[in-house]
Amino acid sequence: MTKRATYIIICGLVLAGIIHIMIILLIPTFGTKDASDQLSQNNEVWDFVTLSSEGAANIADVDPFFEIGACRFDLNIDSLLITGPETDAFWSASVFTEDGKILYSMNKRTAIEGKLSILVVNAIQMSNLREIQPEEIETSILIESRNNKGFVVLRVLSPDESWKPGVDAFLGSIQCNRYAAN
Amino acid sequence: MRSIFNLLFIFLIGLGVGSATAWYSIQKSHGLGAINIGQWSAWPFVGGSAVDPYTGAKVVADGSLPLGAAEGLAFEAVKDEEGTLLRLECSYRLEGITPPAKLWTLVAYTPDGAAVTPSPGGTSAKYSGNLMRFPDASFVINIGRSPMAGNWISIQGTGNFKLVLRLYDTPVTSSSGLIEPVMPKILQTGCES
Repeated sequence: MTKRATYIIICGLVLAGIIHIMIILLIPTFGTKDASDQLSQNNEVWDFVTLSSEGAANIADVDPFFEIGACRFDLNIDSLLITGPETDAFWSASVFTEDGKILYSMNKRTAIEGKLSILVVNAIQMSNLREIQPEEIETSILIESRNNKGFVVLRVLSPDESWKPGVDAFLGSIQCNRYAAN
Repeated sequence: MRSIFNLLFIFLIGLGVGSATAWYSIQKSHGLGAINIGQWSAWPFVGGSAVDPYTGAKVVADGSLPLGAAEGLAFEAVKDEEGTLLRLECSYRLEGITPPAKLWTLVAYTPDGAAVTPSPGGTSAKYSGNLMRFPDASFVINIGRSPMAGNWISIQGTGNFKLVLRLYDTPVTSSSGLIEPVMPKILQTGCES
């Protein structure tokens, strides 16, 4: 009897291990609460939107000292070129894949000439760009993405009210465009 | 008949233990994939593409937007120095220094990820740019319900909360690990009942 019970418990624990691993691996695919899902519900592809405090309410742990803007991309259609002017405020940006993994991140200090300019491409678009080498994207940072869908998140430091006009102007001048090399 | 019962037992053990350990491993603050300094935990690999499955699952389950490695690093604390869970009914004293960073912010959140509502006249978050410091760059931040002199983070309500200290543009994310980063201590100074 005890032998049988031990056998059952061992089998149960092996199954527990399998279920544990399955749950951990499947959460990113089937989770619906994550930030990327929240973002994709609220805006169209190529559309740069700032997340107002209401919109950000669905995203957990938002830093109240930062204004957040985001735009989605779909490399099946075209590459994404996101550009912004120089600004006094500290900013940082991350390129996310659809399942919430970060492909690339940068901040104001690591940007070329202090300007935001990121071009997100897939492998085919990358090889096209290598052939053509367009001048207008010489100062852009090229990111090759394995996933065709994803989004770019931009955070701008806005510690108090006096910063707000400048930060709003900066966010207002962010361009999220389809980019096709030719 | 008996073998059906055996199978049922195996399934019950499997489902119960499997899902419980999965849930526990991503809920726990000092979880897998984290680096821990005192009561503070950070997930440095969350900002790269080589994120481990546990950290990846935690981010999705939390519903947060993680910081990229070049953006910064977030440290989270749910307990004070003595290992007791942080409670909104209590007051705390945060003292010490932070690792080097261009700037940092400290925010009190409820367990579901919303910023704690401050009591009137206060804020539940602090930015390094308007912080009062001692001559040696160390600082004290008082956290509590009633206004306090110096740096004050205002909280109200009941239940647990967590503190998140985000270092922006910090060499900690790219350091070789030779220098152990130092984080401030969280000391409980009293509780209202």
